[in-house]
Amino acid sequence: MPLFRILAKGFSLAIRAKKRSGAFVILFIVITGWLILQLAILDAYDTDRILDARGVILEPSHELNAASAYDSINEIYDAVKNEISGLYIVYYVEVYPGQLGLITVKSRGKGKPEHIPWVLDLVKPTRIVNGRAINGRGEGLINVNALINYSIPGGIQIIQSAKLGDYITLQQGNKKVDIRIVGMYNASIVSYSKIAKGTENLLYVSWEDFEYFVEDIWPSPADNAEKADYVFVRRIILIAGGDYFSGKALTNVESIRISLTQNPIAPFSVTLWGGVDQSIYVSDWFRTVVLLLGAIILGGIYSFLLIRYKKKEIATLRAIGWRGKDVLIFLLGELIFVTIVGFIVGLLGVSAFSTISNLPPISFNTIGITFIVILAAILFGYYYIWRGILRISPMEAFRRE
Amino acid sequence: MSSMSGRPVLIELDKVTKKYEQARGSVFALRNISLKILQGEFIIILGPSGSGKTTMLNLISGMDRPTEGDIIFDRQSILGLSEEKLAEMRRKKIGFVFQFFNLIDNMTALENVMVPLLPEDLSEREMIRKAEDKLDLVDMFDKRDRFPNQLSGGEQQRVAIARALVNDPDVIIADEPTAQLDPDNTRKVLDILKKLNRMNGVTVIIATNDEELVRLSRDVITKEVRLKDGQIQGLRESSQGRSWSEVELG
Ligand SMILES: Nc1ncnc2c1ncn2[C@@H]1O[C@H](COP(=O)(O)OP(=O)(O)OP(=O)(O)O)[C@@H](O)[C@H]1O
Ligand SMILES: [Mg+2]
Repeated sequence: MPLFRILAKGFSLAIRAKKRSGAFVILFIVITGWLILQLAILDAYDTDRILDARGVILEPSHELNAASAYDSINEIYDAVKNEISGLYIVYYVEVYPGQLGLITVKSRGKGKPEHIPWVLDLVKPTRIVNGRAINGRGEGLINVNALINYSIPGGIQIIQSAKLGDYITLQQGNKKVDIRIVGMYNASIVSYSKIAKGTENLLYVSWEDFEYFVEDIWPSPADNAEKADYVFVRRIILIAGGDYFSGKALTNVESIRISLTQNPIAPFSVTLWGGVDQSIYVSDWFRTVVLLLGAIILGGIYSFLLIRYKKKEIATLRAIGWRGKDVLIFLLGELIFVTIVGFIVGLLGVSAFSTISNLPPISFNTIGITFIVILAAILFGYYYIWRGILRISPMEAFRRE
Repeated sequence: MSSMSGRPVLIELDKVTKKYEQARGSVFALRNISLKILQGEFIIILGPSGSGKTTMLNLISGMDRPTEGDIIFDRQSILGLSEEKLAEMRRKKIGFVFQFFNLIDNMTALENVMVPLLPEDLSEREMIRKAEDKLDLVDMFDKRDRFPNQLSGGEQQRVAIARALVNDPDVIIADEPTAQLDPDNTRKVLDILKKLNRMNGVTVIIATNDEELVRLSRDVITKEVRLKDGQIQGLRESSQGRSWSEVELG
């Protein structure tokens, strides 16, 4: 309890010493904000920018159903399985001719569930213009300004728009699936027309809902959606394996592209590929490490100045009988206040900034790492402060400034 | 017969020598000093700059260790005490008054007075009550919410005295407490220390090079220790025969 009170006293002194703490709070805001950004940039190599960084896209040269694509996909998988970390297939099924199609992404062989939201540029979370990404079953994304035009025999038409929060129910007899619209994507991007192929509206759903629709709701359903002849394969996405740091990821992208270009597995051909230079990644990584160390060193600098500035105060406190640990907690109070306020404001600032601009998303990991860095800065400062306290004799209290 | 006899010894310096080793040889800050300080005394240590006054206070309060000799505080040698124990002794038994006041800039007068209480397990309310009590004693209650830079030197020193008193110490140790003050404030500060000594029986030890303090304290001084080059040159015990009961009655 007394130690907690001393800590709180340290907080309040930090608030009162406006100039000194203010300057350092600003420095901590800048450095933590920048660090968060930089970590988000590194993160984006495996989220927002995964296609740019390590994706290879294959598309069929003609309309191809899942039944006839099945073996080719396996063949592709076998050909590149040592170079990839995942193979993802974009499936399409027509719900209402020309008006509404259902799409999904499914991994085959190895694949990482956390990559799925990112491998199809059309639906990735950072591209969603309204709402959010889907979190699983029962949720869907649709194009902005979706208008579904049903022609009923007799020449009547029903034109139905779909907005955020609306449900689209796909039903046959007593079997149905309800999809709630949680987000919208922009239909003007290139892959929309490539995948829609003339269908006006595309509803993106989880693989589970897609499979249920194909295997249970569809009239005369297939046993296996991946082999159904009324399901179409619109795209295969290969995500190269290997790390960026050694350049292995880029090497893998290259080798996948070359092997599938030189020995194409019909009817698929490589239409797009990414790949990031090792040096670009390394410099991003290096910048992150510099900022990370910078934040820790800033904690040390602040502590060093605190000790110098408060020499007389420390000596006085020791003279009047505070124990070393009391003084330590007191000074740590100031350091903790300044770093934590810097962290919180930096984080809020960058989050606000990233939602209004097109910055990569800030993951939980990024926040966690930055917080650990702040703790390390405090720990480093703690070391400095403790050493400083031990060096300052209470006798200094009697001396002139 | 002196009125002081029969009172317990609070602090005893027994053949204390303090030697500082320096590049140009060693400096004897104190040489073979022996002195007994009884409870309730009012002592002035007089001496020119460099005579060893501050060194003596440092040793008495356990902030420094003697090169030779022993220091006994409250019947216990402090030489064997750990830093923690010494800190505790200072916090509970000694109140310090410094030449430059040494208040904490960003704390109000009240908060400054509470500082020695912070490491104690007391309620906030109790701490405030004690601190306000002492501020009242030095006539600074009305200015308790001011920061040091909003107070005159004399006022700051009175706040510092309240801080020194807040733990109800046995002894107040003051190093040049009035060197920064004008005659008026000097008298005020001294009056407070005298009052504490007389009314509450607090032992007071003042180090100074100002003869004026001796004159102003004539009525309460029990010992006048003259230091020169680290040695006691003269020791005058008070001939003012006040009896202990007289003191208690004020
Ligand atoms: N830490 C130290 N290292 C070396 N010498 C010291 C140290 N502290 C004090 N001295 C020396 O010891 C002697 C006594 O110093 P002290 O500070 O006790 O004198 P003082 O009587 O308090 O003087 P003043 O009136 O100037 O405060 C001086 O010669 C001083 O230079
Ligand atoms: Mg001195």
